[in-house]
Amino acid sequence: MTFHADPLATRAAMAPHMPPAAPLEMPQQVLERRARHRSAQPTPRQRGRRLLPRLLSLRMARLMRLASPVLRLR
Amino acid sequence: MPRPTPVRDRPDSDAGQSRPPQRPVSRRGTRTARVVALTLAFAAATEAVVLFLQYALSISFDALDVVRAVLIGVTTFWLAWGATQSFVGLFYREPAVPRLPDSAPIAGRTAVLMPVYNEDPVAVLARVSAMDVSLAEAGLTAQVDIAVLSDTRSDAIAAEEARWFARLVAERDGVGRMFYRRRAQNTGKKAGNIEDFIRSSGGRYDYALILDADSLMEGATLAEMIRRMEAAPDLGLLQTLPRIVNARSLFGRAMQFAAAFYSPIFARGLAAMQGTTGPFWGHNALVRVQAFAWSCGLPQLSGKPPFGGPIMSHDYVEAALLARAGWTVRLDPDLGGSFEEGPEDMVEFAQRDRRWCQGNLQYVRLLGAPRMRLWSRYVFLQAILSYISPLLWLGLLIVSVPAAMWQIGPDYFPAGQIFPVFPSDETAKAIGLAVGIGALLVLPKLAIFLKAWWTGAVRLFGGTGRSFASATAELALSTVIAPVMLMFTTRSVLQVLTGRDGGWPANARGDGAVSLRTAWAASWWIMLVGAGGLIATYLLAAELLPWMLPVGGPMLLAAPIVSFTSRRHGAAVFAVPQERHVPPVLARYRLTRARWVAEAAMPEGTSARDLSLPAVVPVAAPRKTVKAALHG
Repeated sequence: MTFHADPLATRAAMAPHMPPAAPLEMPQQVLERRARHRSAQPTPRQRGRRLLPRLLSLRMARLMRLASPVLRLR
Repeated sequence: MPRPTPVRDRPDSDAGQSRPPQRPVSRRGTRTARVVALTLAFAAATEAVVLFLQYALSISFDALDVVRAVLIGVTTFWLAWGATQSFVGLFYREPAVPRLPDSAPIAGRTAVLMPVYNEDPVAVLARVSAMDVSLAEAGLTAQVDIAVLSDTRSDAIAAEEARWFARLVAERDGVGRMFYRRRAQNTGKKAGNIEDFIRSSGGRYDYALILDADSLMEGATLAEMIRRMEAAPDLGLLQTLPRIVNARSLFGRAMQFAAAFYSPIFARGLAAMQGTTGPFWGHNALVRVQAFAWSCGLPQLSGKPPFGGPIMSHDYVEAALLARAGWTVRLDPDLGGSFEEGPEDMVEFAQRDRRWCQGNLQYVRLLGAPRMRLWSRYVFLQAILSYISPLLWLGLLIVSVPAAMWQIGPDYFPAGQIFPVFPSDETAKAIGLAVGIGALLVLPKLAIFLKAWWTGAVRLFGGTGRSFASATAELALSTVIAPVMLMFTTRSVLQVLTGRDGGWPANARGDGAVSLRTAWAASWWIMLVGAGGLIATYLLAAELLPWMLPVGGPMLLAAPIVSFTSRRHGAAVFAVPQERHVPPVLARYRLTRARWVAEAAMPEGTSARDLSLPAVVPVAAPRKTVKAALHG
């Protein structure tokens, strides 16, 4: 067999030596926690609004949202 | 296809009955080792901070002292952690691990995977040839296939790979059991290369031995690993401790000696603490293919490199993912017959370190990865700290200069006092702190030497006198090169933090000595920083100069040190067992490579016999030698 730097010729010459096909599934693992955003790109305003429900219970968050114009808590 | 799980988790499993009644890796032992090591490291760090604060308070105390106290605490913890690991290793008794008896046949099929990336084809395929002979001796030819997985970008090198692969197949009668595949794109780098094989051909195999292009392994070692894996159905990955071989330079031989003399003890400590959440170093390890396929499909991290994109230091992540899925990941330091090559000079070492640095700092993104074992997160933290700690040492040195400069003398007449109040002299505490930190560096090595002397292991390293000379020379050399390496690491970390992607340059294995000109080009900036630092210290806080000289001096001489340590070095010191009794697989590799290199240089029509080189590699090695290689 003659080998030279022609990639196509080399590839053809090596084809019989390819590993035999025996496919195996390899699912992609999750390594990052998914953000619970409803939209992919929330606005800074939306981000501010969604910070509270994460920290507080839903009811408390509703109360805080009602009070936010007064307390300036966003 | 059902998701494979470790047998111990399956409700219908009879693994409890089928596993040999031997003592498995003890979880209680692992917990004890972890608690002891962490407690000792915290105690040492606390003691260092207390000593420093007592000293600082006796003179004056300001904000810079708080910074110094924090830096001393973190760096001492890191040093003490390494020291305790060695002490755990000194006293750790390896548990008996289950293994298939020699009389039982090996049922599983194994693929030996050799990923290559722009490497020297003759060297790589000569290693494959040597391992194939060794596998045949171990009776594994029928159960083991070999696959060379090329990610080589250069068509010229790829053509050479093809040429020498054809030669290998012809010489070893490897049709149908030796394979070669080259990817068009090297997506995912080495991890992607392995993943591509598992996805396309993994279904044919039960186990895969993952190697590096510079790896070598005895067939008997692989047979033992398969036997251990077959007897432990929950074992997902079995890591060996590869010994460094073929070092020729002063730097390389010092590393080779350290890896042979100290690393087994450190590895035992690591094995004791990691338990079933063991390490994976990316090569010279056997994986269970089904477990690996289902657990280790690596995603791209969101964002751009260096922190986003493909996971560069994939090995720790794959070990953590296997552990997350419930598989055991184990390091068995008793397995001998596993080898790799190391960098021959400091520049090559720094280049490799640059890649590892980027990969390890990327672990910041994985500290909060979902469902990871707590210990896996701690391993990520350690990996990050291993690159951050040199910066902390440098920070401590830098902060010490203004701290000494702005130091206010003691107040002999505090408010309301007529008579002078003399503060107690706490200089002894500062000296105690320095001695303590020095001891954390030296004591583990001293203890390992004493154990080697006590057990007679020093004989393997040339006897007591020669071992002591080697250990002393290694300590001196590592002290001299440490400040230079500190600067290389600092630059790597800063490059990563400023978003400069280092890429993956191929390893320049087997190169000659570094010329003074090249060393200067690689380290002029270190010399400049060293000179600047020493001058600044002399001008601003001259009393600190003696403390700064051990760091600034070697930096000032960086280029000569880099060049000198890369020169070929004789065997006066740094003797290692594998030099005195060359392992069979290594001897065969050297012979095959020499023969192929000679043949490549010969004109057409001549044969290896004309050069008095053996045309056929000797196949049979004495069983005793194989056994000795297997057991280190």
